[in-house]
Amino acid sequence: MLRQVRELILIPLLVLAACTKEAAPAPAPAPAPTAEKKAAPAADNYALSIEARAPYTAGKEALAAITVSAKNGFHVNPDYPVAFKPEGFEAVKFAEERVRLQPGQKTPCAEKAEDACTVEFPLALTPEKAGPAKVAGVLAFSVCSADKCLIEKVPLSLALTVE
Amino acid sequence: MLVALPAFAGGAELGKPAPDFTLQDLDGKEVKLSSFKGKTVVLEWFNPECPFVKAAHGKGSLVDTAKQQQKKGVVWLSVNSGAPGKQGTGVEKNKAAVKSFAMENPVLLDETGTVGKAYGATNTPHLFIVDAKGTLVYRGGIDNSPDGEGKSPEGGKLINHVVAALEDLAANRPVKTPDTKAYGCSVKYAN
Repeated sequence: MLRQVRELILIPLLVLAACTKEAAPAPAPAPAPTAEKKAAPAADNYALSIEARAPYTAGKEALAAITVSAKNGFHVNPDYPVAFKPEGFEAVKFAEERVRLQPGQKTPCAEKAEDACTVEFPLALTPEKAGPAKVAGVLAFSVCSADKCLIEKVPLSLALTVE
Repeated sequence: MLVALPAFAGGAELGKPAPDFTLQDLDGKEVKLSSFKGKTVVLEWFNPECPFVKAAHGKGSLVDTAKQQQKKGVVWLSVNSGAPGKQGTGVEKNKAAVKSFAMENPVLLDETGTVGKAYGATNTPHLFIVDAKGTLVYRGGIDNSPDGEGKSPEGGKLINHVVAALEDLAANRPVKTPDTKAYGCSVKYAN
């Protein structure tokens, strides 16, 4: 249910592009209907979040922040072209059918500072009209350890209210 | 198993003789690089469980590429330099991959990693081309789309670097882009 500003809804469904045995997802928590609260589809080797970056005004480009956090010896693969493919979105538009995301803020891994264990990827979007809207799509990213890499494709969704 | 070995260190250099080697394929048959002198040879570093290899063979730039090039007379050899026990190693896993990827070229096992290190292979996939004279003329990625699927080409247009290099060789031209950045998994060397 939507409230005053924005709600976060994350779909805990994982689509594994490869290595299905390597990254079995843990069930995600139920949607948290609280504005700005992050929720995270999680697996053994990573966690994701998508977060609103208000304000959202009809016709004006804005951002949502997608964060990839690698864990258990994995790091975010810096060479992988992280992309968001919009699917099932409502009342927002994107610049491309497949949005290539550039890394923003990075947090080094504790055990190996040259690797990033958390990377934020700003996602540009433009709300089309005032009222409820939904950012939805599939995030493609990769995390690696010394032993293996994973390529993941994970649906993400974020409900928001446009002023 | 490595049968014979190169005395090269630090990786193979473009424009120089490609390190010779003899490795066994998945049936134990010895394959010697220098026996193909007079033909163009592609070496593809391979790990059947690497998701980039899976993507490239399943829907990216490696789909049918080897088959098409072999029809043109090119020799295509996949090399797995993973150490025993590491991801994607062992005869059975590689045989299964040959079947699932419908590969028609040999997969050579380099479990000591000697050949991989002689070439400076760092990734799977990582491609090298040896011309008919035995000279290394290309090293790098299969293409310019580091997702393995061909969906995120740098510059917007997908370029299969290996096919482009082979076309240059077939036309007796110098390889226009001989050195590109390989992407994918790390080669699972013993150390």
